Amino acid sequence: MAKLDVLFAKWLEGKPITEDELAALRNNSEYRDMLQAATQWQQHAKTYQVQTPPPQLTQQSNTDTWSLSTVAAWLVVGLGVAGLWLQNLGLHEQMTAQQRQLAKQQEVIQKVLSQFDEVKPIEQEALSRLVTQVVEQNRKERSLAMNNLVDLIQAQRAQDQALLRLQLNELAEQVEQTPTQNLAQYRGKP
Amino acid sequence: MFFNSEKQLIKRALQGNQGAWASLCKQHHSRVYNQCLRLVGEPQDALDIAQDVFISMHRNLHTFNGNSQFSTWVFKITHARIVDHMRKRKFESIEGKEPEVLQAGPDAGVAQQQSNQEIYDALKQLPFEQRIVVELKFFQHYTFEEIAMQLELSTNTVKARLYNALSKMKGQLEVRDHG
Repeated sequence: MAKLDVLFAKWLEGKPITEDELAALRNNSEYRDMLQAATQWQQHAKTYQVQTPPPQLTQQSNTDTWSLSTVAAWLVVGLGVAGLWLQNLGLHEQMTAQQRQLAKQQEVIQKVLSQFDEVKPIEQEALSRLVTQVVEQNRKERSLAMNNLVDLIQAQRAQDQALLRLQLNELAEQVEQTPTQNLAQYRGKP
Repeated sequence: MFFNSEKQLIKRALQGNQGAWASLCKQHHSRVYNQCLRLVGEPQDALDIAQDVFISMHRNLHTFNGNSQFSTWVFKITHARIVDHMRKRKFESIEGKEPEVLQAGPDAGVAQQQSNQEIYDALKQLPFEQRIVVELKFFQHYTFEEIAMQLELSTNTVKARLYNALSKMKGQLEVRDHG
């Protein structure tokens, strides 16, 4: 009996049993009736037509059943949002382009600065050389100019002296040829 | 996100998302309603109970801890609401109030209604504790252990109730055969 109980429970759970085991159940009057009743319930379950819940229940639970106006309102909101989104997208693109350009510019500046840093010591050296050269040149020119000036002054003095000598000679000649009464008398003590 | 798992739906429903709650209800309303219909046998009562079930679900959703399946939790609520209904109905019959006559739904075919009516009638012949075991075993296809867990009974008690229900049906069959 206990064995039949286990077999019947196994059958009810949908586990496979052999033909002999099924025959053993059918041979027992108590289990045969239960087997028949269970088969009938299984049949009922198969033939049961699932009922559609009444609209009251569906409406109660279907809070997402939107009316046309709600849908329209959402559509308008959706379009507005989409418009804003598109506008935003354009701005975003522009901003991205600007940011990209700025980054490029910064990169170029950075490159120039680094090049400048590299060039700077060389340039400084060249500049110093140039300055030294200029100073030396100036010094030479100045020295030359001074020499010229000195020469000019010396020539000028020589010319002046020559002119003075000529004038003095002329004067001496005039004094020698003039009569003595015309000469001024010095009446003071010697 | 277009597809949501039950867990996500519960989480979002708890956060107050009406859409998630509606989806949860949609997943279970047919099962709950048909279960109520088979167990009480009357569409109007089944509708009332199903509505109560969803109200209870909404109120107590925060108590669902995810240790069991959501459908099991829903069944427990359904079971509790049906038991409440049966108690109330018992009281009303003592008071002399006649139970409502089963009305066919507007979209239900006659043959379909007759076939289902036979099932309701057969189930009505059983005491409620046996009816619920038959419902879970043959219509919901649960194992004895699962039924025992849902009804918080021992497996042997569940088996005994089912065997009693089947034995009782044997009597009905005999009456029908002789009739």
